[in-house]
Amino acid sequence: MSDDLDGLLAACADGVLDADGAAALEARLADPAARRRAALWFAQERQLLDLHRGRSRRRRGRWVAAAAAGLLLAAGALAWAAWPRAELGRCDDGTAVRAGDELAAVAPRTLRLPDGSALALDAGAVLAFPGDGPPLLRAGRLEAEVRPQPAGRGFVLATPHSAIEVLGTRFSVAVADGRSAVAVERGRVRVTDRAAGWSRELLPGGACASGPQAPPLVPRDALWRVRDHDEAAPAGWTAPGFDDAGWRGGRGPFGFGAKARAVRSAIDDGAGPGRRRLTAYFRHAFAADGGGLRLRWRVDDGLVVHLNGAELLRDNMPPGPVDGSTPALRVVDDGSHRWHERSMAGVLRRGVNLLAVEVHQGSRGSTDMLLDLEAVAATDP
Amino acid sequence: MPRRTVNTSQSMPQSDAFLARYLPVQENLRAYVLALVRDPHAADDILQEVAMALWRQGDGYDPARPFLPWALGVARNHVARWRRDRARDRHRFAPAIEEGLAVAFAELECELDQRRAALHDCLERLGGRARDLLRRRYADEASLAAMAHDRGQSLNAVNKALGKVRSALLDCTGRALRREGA
Repeated sequence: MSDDLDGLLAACADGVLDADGAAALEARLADPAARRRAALWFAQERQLLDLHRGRSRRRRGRWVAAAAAGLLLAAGALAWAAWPRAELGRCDDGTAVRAGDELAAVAPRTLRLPDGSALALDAGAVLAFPGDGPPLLRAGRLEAEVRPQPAGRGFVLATPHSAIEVLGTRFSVAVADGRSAVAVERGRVRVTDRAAGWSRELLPGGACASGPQAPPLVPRDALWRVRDHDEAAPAGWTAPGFDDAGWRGGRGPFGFGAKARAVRSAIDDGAGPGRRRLTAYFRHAFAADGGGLRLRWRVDDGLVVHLNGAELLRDNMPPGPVDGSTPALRVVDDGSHRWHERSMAGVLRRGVNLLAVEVHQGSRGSTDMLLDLEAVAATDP
Repeated sequence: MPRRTVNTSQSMPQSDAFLARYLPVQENLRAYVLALVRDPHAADDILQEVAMALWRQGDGYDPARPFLPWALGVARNHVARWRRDRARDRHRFAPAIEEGLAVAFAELECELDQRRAALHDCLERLGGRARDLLRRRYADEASLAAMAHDRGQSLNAVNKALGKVRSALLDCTGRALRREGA
């Protein structure tokens, strides 16, 4: 009995449980024995997280205060406040911070430094004071208001990926998804990416990210469901719950035409020159942790992109309603397959997201077609 | 240099009696919240609130009754508030199922510490590929999509592979506990 139930629990834990799966899981959980198995499953899930996070922390020398146990133990840690080390700053709740401490913000907190500078930590931020180096933002986000610093002795804040030299300014830093992002509101900072070696000065309004690039959410060679045998779109085809089991699978990029060198999977071009089908349809599901999305694409001739059933963008397509017989605005010369890019904040769901793309020809006589697309998570600083 | 951790939450009164009740059951609470929200980071955040709420509401607890079912009820209320605040669209269980799960977690009261020790041993016995999968998922906190990309597999395939490892671990810890009990 556990195979089927475990499969549903795994999908549930990984956020890839669809509506049918959710209904099946609920039906199974009506049985007390299944509920016990589910309780054990999630208890193990919790323990696996703890065991691996513990290993990860040891490996990286990292400590993150998060769980309730940490909260309770911290009450004991506060009694150690008499440690005779120089005070580096004081939180708005009166807690003193000294070299060697790590400040784990359970709720938003502001740390004031002796020179009047202030570091406002978001809930979840972890700021370490190593003693032999600058303050290190290990995780989360903070906003800094740094008082003007003496010439040649700028205030330095570090992240696992970068060093930020501050000359007196207001800026924010965030560490998430293995990267660091800095945005300057006022003044001037210099950001140095330790691994890549580059250094960049940011002025007000400027922002940059450092650290290794995250893998794309949807790589160019992602496996898609393709419908190219009929230019008419089935009702509801952009919806996450649409049944695309009858569509064929194929890896991007897609296309046809003599000069479409990048193409990995052919699109069926229909009945030949002058009578080619105008439109092909593509669907791809992927998991994300919510947040923003950056799309890069090349298309011949036009496309409409939908995310989770809602239109996200269109390129070289007319405004208004579009169906399978709607041509693209103009025929794209295959020598001008330029990359386009657009970032959209806060469009992703946490869990499974469904990207649906329709590619339209400019005319039935068009001799080529291309869809080359990738999507990456966009981190807002 | 010795390192201390400064937690910037509000200072709270110490309560040895509370700690004596809370510490033995925190594992059950953490797992229950994770079961309801399926987001480890959100679950950690909620658990902090639950711990603080239990501490503050300590006076409202009737020592004549079991602590864990009461604490599970408080945790469930906090999950409901978290959902309401964030208008989460992730699937949630029906109330009857959530209640049933709370009963199941309450029945595991003394079992989870033993299971944690057994799980540690079972992890040591895993093969390299299975360990790599778990490390990417739990230590690196890689998304399923990232893992699928790394391995050149579909999301579904990665989910199934992970599921098999978790099932094997659950069965392994169950066998270890039965051996100890035998």
